[in-house]
Amino acid sequence: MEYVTPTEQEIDEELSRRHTAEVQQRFKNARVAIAGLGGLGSNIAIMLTRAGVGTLHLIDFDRVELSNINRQQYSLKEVNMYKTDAIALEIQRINPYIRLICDCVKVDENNLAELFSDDKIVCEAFDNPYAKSMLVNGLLESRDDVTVVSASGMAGFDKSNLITTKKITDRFYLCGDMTSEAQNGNGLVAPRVALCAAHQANAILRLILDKKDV
Amino acid sequence: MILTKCVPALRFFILKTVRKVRNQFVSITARASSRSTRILLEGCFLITINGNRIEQNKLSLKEYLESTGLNPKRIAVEINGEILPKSEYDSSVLKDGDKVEIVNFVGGG
Repeated sequence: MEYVTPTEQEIDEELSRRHTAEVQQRFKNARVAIAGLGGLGSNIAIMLTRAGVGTLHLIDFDRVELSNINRQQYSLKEVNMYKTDAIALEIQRINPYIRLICDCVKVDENNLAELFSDDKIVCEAFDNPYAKSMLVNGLLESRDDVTVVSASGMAGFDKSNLITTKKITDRFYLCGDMTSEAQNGNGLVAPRVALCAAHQANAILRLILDKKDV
Repeated sequence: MILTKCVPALRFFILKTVRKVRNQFVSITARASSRSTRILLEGCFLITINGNRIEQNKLSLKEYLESTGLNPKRIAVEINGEILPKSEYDSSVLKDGDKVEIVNFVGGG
């Protein structure tokens, strides 16, 4: 049988049946930036796609490597592709009507303000702790209209229930176990990375719905 | 002779009592401030950092970061619900009643 892509209306109706039309409309109107498309960011992007978030701003400078496949939402055929291109392919397979804004750049102090100027919800999904600190501080110090959902600590095989969502300020949420650093002998593994990503994705969906408690 | 033997024991007793009284004062201050009726007792100040109570009326953030070995380039500091700009880390002085959360980012994502 020939494959026919469902229409945007068909997908929207299916999502509305699950979420209610009102919630779905909010998701569809929302825009979320995801900074970093590794274990956290690629999982978050896929989860927000499945939920029907209308616009995703995806930022990463890196290419997919074989070592990423253990936990990131890419497949072998995408090794060596830019992550922004590879995630766009994956997203289009799930919902081709999501509007994607892809920036294949490295975020730093100089481009941060301009890069996120149209974003109100920014998901910090970097792996480097210095980059995490730079993004969180850079955005929260200079803007009072942006909320950042960040992550810290999700390596290894420690207990699932240690991963939590904390509200640090009204505009700064932090997910993770806060301590499990990725290092030799305690690497990043799919389940805990996905758990942390799910905490971030759910915090974002709740923000879209104005549910600000944790 | 007896007196010299007694002195260390006496000193220990006095120190213990002082510490006990001081701790009681601190818990009174904490309870009082939670009811927002504040009793100020000289010498009993409280700064809370990541849930730990520090009995000091002033504390330089820079000195605290140095004493804990936290790297200013991989943290975020929240004081009483607001993010402290990085440019203020060196000059910031924590004071009585401040509630501080220091997020120490670890690698992985």
